[in-house]
Amino acid sequence: MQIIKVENLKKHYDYYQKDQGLKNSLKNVIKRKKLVKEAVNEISFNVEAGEIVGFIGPNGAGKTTTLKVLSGILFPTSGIATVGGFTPWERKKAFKMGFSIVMGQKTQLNWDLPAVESFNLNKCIYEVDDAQYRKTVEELTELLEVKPLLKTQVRRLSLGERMKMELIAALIHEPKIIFLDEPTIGLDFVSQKIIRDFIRRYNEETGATILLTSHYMNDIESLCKRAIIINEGHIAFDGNLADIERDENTTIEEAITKLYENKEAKAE
Amino acid sequence: MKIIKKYITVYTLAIQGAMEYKTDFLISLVSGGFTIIIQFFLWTAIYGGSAEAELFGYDYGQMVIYVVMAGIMGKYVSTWFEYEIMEDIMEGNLNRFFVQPIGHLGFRAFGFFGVKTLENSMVIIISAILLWVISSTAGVTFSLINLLILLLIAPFSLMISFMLSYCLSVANFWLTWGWGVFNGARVITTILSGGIFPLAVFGDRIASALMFLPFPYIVYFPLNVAVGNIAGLDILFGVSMQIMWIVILFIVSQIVWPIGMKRYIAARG
Amino acid sequence: MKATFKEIIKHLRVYRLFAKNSLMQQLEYRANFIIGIITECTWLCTKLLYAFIVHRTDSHVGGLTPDQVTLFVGTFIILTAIYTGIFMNNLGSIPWRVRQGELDLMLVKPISTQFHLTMREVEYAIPIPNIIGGIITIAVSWSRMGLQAGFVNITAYIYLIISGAALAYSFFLIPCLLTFWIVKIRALVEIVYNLWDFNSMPMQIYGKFMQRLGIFLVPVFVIANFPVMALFENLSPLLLAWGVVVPLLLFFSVRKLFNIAIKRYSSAGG
Repeated sequence: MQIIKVENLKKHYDYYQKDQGLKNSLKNVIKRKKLVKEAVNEISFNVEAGEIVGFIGPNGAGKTTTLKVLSGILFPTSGIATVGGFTPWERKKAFKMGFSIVMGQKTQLNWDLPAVESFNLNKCIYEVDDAQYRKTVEELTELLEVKPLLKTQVRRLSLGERMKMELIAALIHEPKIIFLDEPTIGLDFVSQKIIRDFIRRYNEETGATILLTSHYMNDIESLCKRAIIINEGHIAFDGNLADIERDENTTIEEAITKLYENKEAKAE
Repeated sequence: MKIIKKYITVYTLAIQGAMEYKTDFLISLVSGGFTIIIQFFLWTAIYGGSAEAELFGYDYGQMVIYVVMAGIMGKYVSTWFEYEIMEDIMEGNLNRFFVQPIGHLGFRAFGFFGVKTLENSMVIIISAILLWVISSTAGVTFSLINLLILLLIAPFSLMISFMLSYCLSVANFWLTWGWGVFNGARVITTILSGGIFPLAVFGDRIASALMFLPFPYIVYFPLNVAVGNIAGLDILFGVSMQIMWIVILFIVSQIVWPIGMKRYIAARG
Repeated sequence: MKATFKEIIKHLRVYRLFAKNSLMQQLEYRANFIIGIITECTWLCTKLLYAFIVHRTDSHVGGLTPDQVTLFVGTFIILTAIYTGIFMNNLGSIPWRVRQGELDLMLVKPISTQFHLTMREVEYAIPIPNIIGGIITIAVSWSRMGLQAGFVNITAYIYLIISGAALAYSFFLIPCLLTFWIVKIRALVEIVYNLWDFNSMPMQIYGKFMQRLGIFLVPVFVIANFPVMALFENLSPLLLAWGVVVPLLLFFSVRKLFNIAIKRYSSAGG
């Protein structure tokens, strides 16, 4: 079953050029140079239920924008997308109840309180019953080895511990679809590995569909059979990482960099 | 010579900074304007509803001038660097004063008076317009000579206000977030300096007791000169009290700041 | 119908957690909490000073006795407690939250985004002195007057206080929402916030023209004046109707504006 379908999805937005200095600020009041940023340009792909798909691409390639559109945070300029049978930007309650998004750069945890308070809030927001909630928290804290930290204020946690808590908070309602935007950003190797193993195990045990973006090739290689490489809003490659053409002495990074350069050819 | 040049640089930098903060200045002008409008109508209603022509020793015209000018004086003597010092201490920026051959008080003073020259010249223009509007619409008269004297003694008020805030800023060495203290202190200072109502409303006994504090010399004394309730030699006496408080607060600052600095250095190892 | 009811219960449950978490959070910084209370006491003093002066001069401002003015001031203090406790911090932090991207994570939650963005914090320090001071002020002036208010008047008084707070919410939310269109919004927000102070004295002290302006065009006078006028039976049927209608009208308009703002947010940006 194809749980995520994306067809010719496009997200353009306007922004204004501002040159430095007071004179240019004044000039901007009268006439601003309007520029269009083509964040996502006519991309199409489908995801099977239970798959883990990795998004790779340089900064500003459109990975986060795609995830935001699929979460219903942003409206697309044009195109069609269905996620779990819903159009995300209609923001139906049933849609929101069935998915989750974690952004490595943002937090949904209350900084000054123990993480368990934020879990409890999500329990209430997602209407999870007590027994289910207790079971989920029990299991996840066990798996991620953060059980003793549940009562520690989030601001006192290390970056890795915080990310683990962030993941748990996002999984309280057992979402069927999970978007992870750079979940391992800034973490040390040990934490990266624990989180990676956790994501794989969670996928195997629950069958949840996972879309993740990462800068670390390790994440993608070890987690995803399938990778989508995006550059400047276009899909440059979609398939098994092993299928990327390369000879023995090029690394996967180098092969991908080459793909970026060939983007124009591929897009046509 | 070199040191003077450095101070002048601080002074001009502060003026440029003030230009950037012009929106904050605009906000405070408008909100100050609201207070003035409320006060004007309040006192018009009070005098209208009272059998007496003179309340607390002020006739209607004097009271209107007082409360309107009190709003303006509040702006004229306002300070903001307590918050900058708070940030400096939190972020460890005070270190530069150990390295740079420029004293902290000097740095603050030049920066402060730099911004203030610019702001206050606008404040003076605005108050002139306001007084003209009030006198022509509400039929209130005032003495031009008294206002000129006010213009001469107001800088002393500004200096007391500066020194007071500077002394209070040492609280930052002990508190992580001093803003609450400063906001509270600002309200109390405003009330006690006669910045909302003339101190006479509290009764003669409390008013004369308050005169032993520095606060009344910031607003209450200069405005009583402006409305003609203080005249002649009493003005000279008041000015000498102002100077005395500037000196006292300067001495206090020279005592408390080193104590705070010691704590700051100790805390940072 | 049943689904709506269920959603309301859920939002109330979530709000209880917001309130609990805010309290825990604020008690984490005990010194700030205490300083906040002390600071607010000084503001409370300035509000009471107005009443004090009216008493000292024994002046009947706008035809009101000093005790009536004091009761008005007490009501204003109570409204300040409600407004600062429930709304002020939330509204003030909207521009900041939007720029920090916190809104993104709110949009994916299965609860009302407006509720989440505008009510997630409850302030405790500021309302404490105001509730105590306000109740004492009202009680003292009430008994000094020997006010004999009927059940209908007291009900109208309480209803108009609550709807006044709701009116304040909608009214002060408007400039905050402009943050979705204009980046530098602080000046405007602060200026509008300062309109609150126009309620520190009964509107009778202002001229007829200002009164009409503050009732019909920029309805700030409705917030604190109407409850007291209802209590003293000074509120004409026409004004009473306005006092009931305008908070509802503004609330639904702001709700519309909020949705437009969110739509704009989602259409722009990346």
